Amino acid sequence: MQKRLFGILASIAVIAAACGGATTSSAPPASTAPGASAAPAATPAPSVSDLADQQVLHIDLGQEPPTLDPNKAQDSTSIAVLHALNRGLVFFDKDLKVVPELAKDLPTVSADAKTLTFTLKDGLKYSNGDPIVAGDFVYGIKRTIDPRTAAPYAYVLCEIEGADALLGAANGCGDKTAPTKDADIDAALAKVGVSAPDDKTVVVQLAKPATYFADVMALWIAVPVQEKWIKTPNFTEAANYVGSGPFILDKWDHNSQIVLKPNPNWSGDVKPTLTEIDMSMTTEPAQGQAAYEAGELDMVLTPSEDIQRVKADPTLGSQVVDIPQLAITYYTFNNKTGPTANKDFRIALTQAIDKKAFIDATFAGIGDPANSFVMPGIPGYQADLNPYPYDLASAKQHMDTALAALGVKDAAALGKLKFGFNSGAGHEPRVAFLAEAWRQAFGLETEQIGSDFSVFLQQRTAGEYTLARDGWGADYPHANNQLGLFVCGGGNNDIQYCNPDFDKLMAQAAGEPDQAKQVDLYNQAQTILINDAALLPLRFGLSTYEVQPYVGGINSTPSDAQLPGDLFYETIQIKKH
Amino acid sequence: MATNTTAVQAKVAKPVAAPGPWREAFGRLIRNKLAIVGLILVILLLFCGIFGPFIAPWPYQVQDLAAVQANGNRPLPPLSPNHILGTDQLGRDLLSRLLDGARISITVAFVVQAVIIFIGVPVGALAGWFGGRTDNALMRLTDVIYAFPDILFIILLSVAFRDTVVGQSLDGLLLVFIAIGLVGWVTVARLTRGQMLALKETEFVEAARAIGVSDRKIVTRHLLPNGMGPIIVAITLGIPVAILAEATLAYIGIGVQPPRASWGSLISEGQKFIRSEPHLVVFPAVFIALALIGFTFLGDGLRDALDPKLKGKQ
Amino acid sequence: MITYIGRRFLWIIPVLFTVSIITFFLMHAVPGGPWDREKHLPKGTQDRLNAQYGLDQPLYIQYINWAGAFVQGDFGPSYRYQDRRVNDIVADGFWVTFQLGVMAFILSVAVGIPLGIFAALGHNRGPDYLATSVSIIGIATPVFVLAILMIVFFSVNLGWFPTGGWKGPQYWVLPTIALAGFSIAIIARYTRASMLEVTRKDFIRTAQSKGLRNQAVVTRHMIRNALIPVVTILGPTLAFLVTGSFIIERIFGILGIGQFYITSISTRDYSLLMAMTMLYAFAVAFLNVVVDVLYAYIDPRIRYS
Repeated sequence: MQKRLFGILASIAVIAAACGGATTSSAPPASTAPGASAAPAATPAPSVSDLADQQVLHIDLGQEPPTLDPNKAQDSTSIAVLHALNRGLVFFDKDLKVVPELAKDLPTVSADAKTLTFTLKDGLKYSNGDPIVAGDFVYGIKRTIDPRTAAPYAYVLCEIEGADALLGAANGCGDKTAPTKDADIDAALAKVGVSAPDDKTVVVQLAKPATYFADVMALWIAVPVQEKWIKTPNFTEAANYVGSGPFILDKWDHNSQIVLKPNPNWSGDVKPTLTEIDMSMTTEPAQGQAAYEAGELDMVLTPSEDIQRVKADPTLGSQVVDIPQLAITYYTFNNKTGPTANKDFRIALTQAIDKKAFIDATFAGIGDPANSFVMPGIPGYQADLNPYPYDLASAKQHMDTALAALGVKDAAALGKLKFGFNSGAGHEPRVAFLAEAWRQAFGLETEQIGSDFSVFLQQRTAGEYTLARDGWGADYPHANNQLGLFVCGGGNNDIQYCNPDFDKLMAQAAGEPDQAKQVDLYNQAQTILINDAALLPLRFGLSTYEVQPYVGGINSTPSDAQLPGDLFYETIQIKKH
Repeated sequence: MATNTTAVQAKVAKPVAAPGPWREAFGRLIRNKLAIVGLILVILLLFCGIFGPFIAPWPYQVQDLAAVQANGNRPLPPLSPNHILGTDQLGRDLLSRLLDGARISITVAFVVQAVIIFIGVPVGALAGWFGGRTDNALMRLTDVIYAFPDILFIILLSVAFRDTVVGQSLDGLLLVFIAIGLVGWVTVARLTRGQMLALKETEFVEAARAIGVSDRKIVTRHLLPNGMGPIIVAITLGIPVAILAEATLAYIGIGVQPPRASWGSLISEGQKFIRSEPHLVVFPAVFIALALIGFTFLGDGLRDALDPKLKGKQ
Repeated sequence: MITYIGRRFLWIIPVLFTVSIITFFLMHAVPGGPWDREKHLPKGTQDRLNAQYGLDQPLYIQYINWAGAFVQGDFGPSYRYQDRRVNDIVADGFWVTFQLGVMAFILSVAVGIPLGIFAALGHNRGPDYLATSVSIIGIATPVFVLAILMIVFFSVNLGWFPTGGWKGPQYWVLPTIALAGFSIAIIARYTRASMLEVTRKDFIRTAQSKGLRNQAVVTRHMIRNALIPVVTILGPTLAFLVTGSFIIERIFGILGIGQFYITSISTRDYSLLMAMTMLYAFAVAFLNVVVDVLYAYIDPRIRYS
């Protein structure tokens, strides 16, 4: 199993889509991507005299965060809040470059690129006044790696020396098996390569060179965490929450709202102008829209059915912000079993789809067609890679070839192919569109099977469907995160794809230190994947938001968890209105 | 005095058979205006359900995308050429899909009631006939079923057995119907039991036994006409409940598989467009309302017609 | 009488017990688990989580553990909201759902019964047709259709009421009416039918022939007797309203416990599912017994063996 290498950022949006039911693609946010359409990535900060008296931001989280434990969080709702409550040694700036946050400077990297040394700023304090010490960073990282925490994102720390003994093959990190006895776990934790030689120095020892590991240290799981805080009962409740970020958890009315207030002990360079952030939890997107139109919310994700109406509206239209997302809607072919194991069959299916019409009919025309897998904005995006464009004549030819190879005289003889999707998440029209297109082009029949989400996931992973709906949101803007899905036996390899040439290139690329050469290797790998027509890419994500004109200082990035600029609530300001 | 005797004798000599209880009931039913309305609606529904695929202008899953694109990628409104009730966002004809929904509703009506009859009537009859501990045990069983949160149970069953043969038949609907029936048979069972208990001890049963009428005649001429009435009514009135349950489940995404169109799922899909294309919600809602009204009026009419207390009055 | 009441209430316990067993095993028969995510969790994490929550043990042991905690009032940890226990989640939402249900119940009774009486008194004349039409609309309109239409009409178009949420009295109006619609219709029909039946009873004729003024006849005899059968449906109505509000809660975005009916199944939050089932089962069983006892108490003609 390929070890996953980690790069820059992690924000998870597909989780939100998966768990909550997607409207458009609720994948993560913005990009200053080349070729992105009409997206102001930042709104200018207003001058002081322009500021409103009331500096309160009203937004909606869309659901109750499952957890606010920084080591255990994995979904975008939790992360959206955690970005405000906790910060680590380093963080990102609005261009997604890693910059020091609680550390004085970027880490010094040893000559062999295996040791990173961070020095803390002076006078750092938590929200409760306790000093932030280097040992808290060590504790937090070790707690994430500790199997007893069962942290879903522990695997990003795989590169740290000794982490593989605790994460093991089960976490896609090396091939060891994690110990189960407490004594053995504690012994292994003591050997993990993160340490605090004194209160102001954090040393991270890696098992192999990884210059980008500083970016991993910017993630929400690498924030400082006090042992005594974790051991407090109900430590994530507002009364007990101790954080290192620009805001504190003032109130958490479960299933109702969260209120954030500025952290008086915040040591970052930018102090919040906002005096309060009110986060409601409206589960129905239509209600969020209604609340925005009533002036109760300052920003909202526009529900897909309202997009046309909103854009045509004289007032609302000017408040619309289209932000490309590092996300892709794609449908899977089963590369191992069934007629889709035949390459011509897959090509035929690909060429029978008019992706523009698909987007117009089922995504309200929002978003660009996708012909490859790596999204625009990520190094490695290949705009010209489109070997199988929409062409019904060519599709028919490939289908005939495929049917001959399969030994049947027409597509109907193949019976009804199983086409799976998760019900209740708005995928029905898209599935119906594709099924109908194939029916009209070849007389191919499909059995559209909508299931409960868990059942669907299991069936898809087990390869029970010939065709299935799928999607992917970037954890971080690096080709490896996208293409790494499709290595042989990969945990998220929903297309049952296994091509040794592809795997070889992926392994080569991962170990290549030169940036440019690395991108080229990933491009070669992607070319193989797309030439094999292994999957059906359909649409790159684009989310439409409405932002009230009086909200200034927004710095949106591809790593926003949910709403534009929610990585840096401390820069947002409310203008007079 | 003498002049009367012949008249009286003539009348006594020729006894006239009273019309059977069923014929009387039918007569009462026909005279009930609301019941006739209900009957007409039910017949219309049956017609749509059975002949729907033949009279529908389009197959329910075909997408007239060209028309939608010509309309600026919006669903077509009613009275469009070729689409008399309009289309959804994929260009699927609404009338055709409503007719498919009628098929589903009919199937609901009959399958669910069949399940209810096959479980409820025997259970209730046994409980009522044998009484005592059998009665007690069966009644406690109905308590358990009754206490179940039905929607939860139905969803659990639907998801748990989705991949079985039953779960796949009828586009996933058979499983849902059986589940609805499984939580719904209690009322009919209780009713049957009540009827059994009440009628077992009536005077005319005792009298009939005393004269020596055979048990079979007692059952067919006395118990059934009097006993089945409320059961038939309950079953008819149970149909709207079943249709409603299926629509609600379809609305939240349980049961019917796309591209088939239950009225409930049509409303769920159409809800997004309610401000701009309300016909996508209004028409399915109207169809549901008519089906519910039809069966309710018919059930009321049947109840009034079969209610023995009304015999001879009004 | 006391023994009868006592026995009926005691029977609730085995009923709940059976419900819990059936639900528990059915719940675990559903494929999938609480850790299913679109981006698969690493197997090691899943195994660890399963061990932590005891999901790797045989089912009957899990049931015993659950039951043991449950009877002590501990509903267990939530599988989805990992920081919280189910007790807290239920406590948060329960009063919202309860309030909504009770308000809908009061509305149903306050409107349904007079409507039915009104219809019966004006039998086959104007008032009857009017009241019957209203109740027909109530029966013919599914709850979710009524809710959607009310939102579009009163909220979006007229702007009289907010579209959702539960932040104050004006938020209560639309959900309560939408929820109560069906029950109003049922109660009205029942009351009307019961009233009509009572008018034909002999003792009414006797009272009328004795010369009592019509008004007195109506109030003193008819209504009181007519309401007796109506009591039998109040129990199920209340149970339905208090616990069956999940559609309303979903459409209006009200964060009570009703929403957890559906979501706990799709997220496979086992403890929450069990808690919801037991709550509902208890409410229904309890209310049924209350109604039966009340009925026996009110109507001296009923005798139970």
